[in-house]
Amino acid sequence: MDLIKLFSVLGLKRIATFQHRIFLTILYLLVNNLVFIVFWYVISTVTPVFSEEVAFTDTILILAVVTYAFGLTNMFAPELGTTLARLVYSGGLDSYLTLPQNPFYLLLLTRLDVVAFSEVLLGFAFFAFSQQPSFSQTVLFVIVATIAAANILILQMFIGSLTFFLGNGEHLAKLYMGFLQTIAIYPLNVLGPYVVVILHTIMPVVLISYLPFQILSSDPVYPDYLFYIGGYLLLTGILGFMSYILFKVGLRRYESGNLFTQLT
Amino acid sequence: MTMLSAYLYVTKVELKNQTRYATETIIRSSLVFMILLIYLQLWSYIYSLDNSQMSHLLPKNNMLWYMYLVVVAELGRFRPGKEIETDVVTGNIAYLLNRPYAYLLYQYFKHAAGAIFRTVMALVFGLGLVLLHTREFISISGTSLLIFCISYIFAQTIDFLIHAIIGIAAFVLEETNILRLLCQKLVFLIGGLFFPLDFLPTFLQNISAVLPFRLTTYAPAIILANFANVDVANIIQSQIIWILILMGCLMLLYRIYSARVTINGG
Repeated sequence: MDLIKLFSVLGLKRIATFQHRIFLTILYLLVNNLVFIVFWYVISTVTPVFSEEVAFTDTILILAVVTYAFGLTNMFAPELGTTLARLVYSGGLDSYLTLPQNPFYLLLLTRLDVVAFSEVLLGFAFFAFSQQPSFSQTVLFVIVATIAAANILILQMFIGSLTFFLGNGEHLAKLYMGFLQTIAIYPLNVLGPYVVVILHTIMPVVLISYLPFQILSSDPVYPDYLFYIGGYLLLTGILGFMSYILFKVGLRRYESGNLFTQLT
Repeated sequence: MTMLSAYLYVTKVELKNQTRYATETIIRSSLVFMILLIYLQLWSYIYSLDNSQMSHLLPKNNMLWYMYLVVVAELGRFRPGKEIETDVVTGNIAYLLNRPYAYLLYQYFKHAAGAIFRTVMALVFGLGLVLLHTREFISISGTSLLIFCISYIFAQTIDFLIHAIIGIAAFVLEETNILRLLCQKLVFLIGGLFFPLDFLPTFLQNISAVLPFRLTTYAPAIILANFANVDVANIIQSQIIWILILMGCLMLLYRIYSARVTINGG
């Protein structure tokens, strides 16, 4: 808890140094999400039949989950995949390994970015816009979107850990995560079977957007909640375990670069 | 002439450098290949729902070829913003200003090499995919191909100039990453990456008409995808005008801020 407090204060001080960044970040978040809303709006307008197949509010609900989940990950560990890849191939991981805390834990905390909280709020706003949410639906949204965020973090660790085996994987991690974020906003039923297979396997977008969307839009009653969330948590746990094993195995191959820098 | 050959040599060296990291470029291209696949499937799905309404705006095959061309254009960008920002923030620019070349021209020719390599990769990777969806080549004449090539080079130059201006903004802002991302998103929507601009509501078309983003993506793609129905002369003319405007802005900002660089020591 002390570490979380310390890095939160450091994050706030960093923001205070570059105040214009707050304004630019919020402007970017608005434009970024507005672009996708207009995208779906235009498609619904030019092909009214499309909105019979995929409701406009459904696309906004997917966008709400994705925005909230990526906002949460950007807040706790912005660009974790690329950062880990860079630390591994440059030898910068030394700074984390010499500290008594678990390096996995440190990697998640040392880059706290409080500005990204605005993205989380934007996710909430989209959720409120997509439907008239009740209290239980709002709680369900927070739970499943937070699990989606955990999946994003796990995938970032996974793709970043590949650098232990492949060499410089910074660009790969950046592109992979960029691709996940882009593709996560598309409803699965508009895509063909080959893409659907890819999105269930090497790029498990289903865990980030489609599964939370299904849980939220199916409007389950009380006992079903637990079943759906339990299944979702189980899948997340399996992915998390695989990611942790990959990190630990990769760590054995890591060679010190004798590079000691501040934790960034 | 000697100076030009020096810059072309920079491009040649950088091109060799790109081929050394061919695996990375192939991975990057394969991810763009995935994005193209999704666009092609999305639009095929939409056309399957309402072919008559959509064909009125742009026939299906032309639309799929348009998506292929905009994705190629997006991958073939040469954006120096990040490198200029790093040079400014680290102070490396002080060293580079003393080199016997024009810094911005050096950036242009250096980044052009990567763009050539990535464009070729995207053309090759995407061609099979678009043919799989359309099952026919788009009708191309020698004239349309030539005008497309000219417009494509102009488009990439406009994009380069916009990103160079953003890079120079690092003298004031220090961090310009968000501006670059903002610019990218504007290209998605009012630049024509998501769909041709004719699909947009009128007020967004009007906004797009006064900004240069449509000339970086929509302009070259629509020339080849729908040559018979576009005002080619107007597009090329607009591109030339915007290149001159952006070049003027870039030179002005570069002169103002590079004059403020203070070099201490050797």
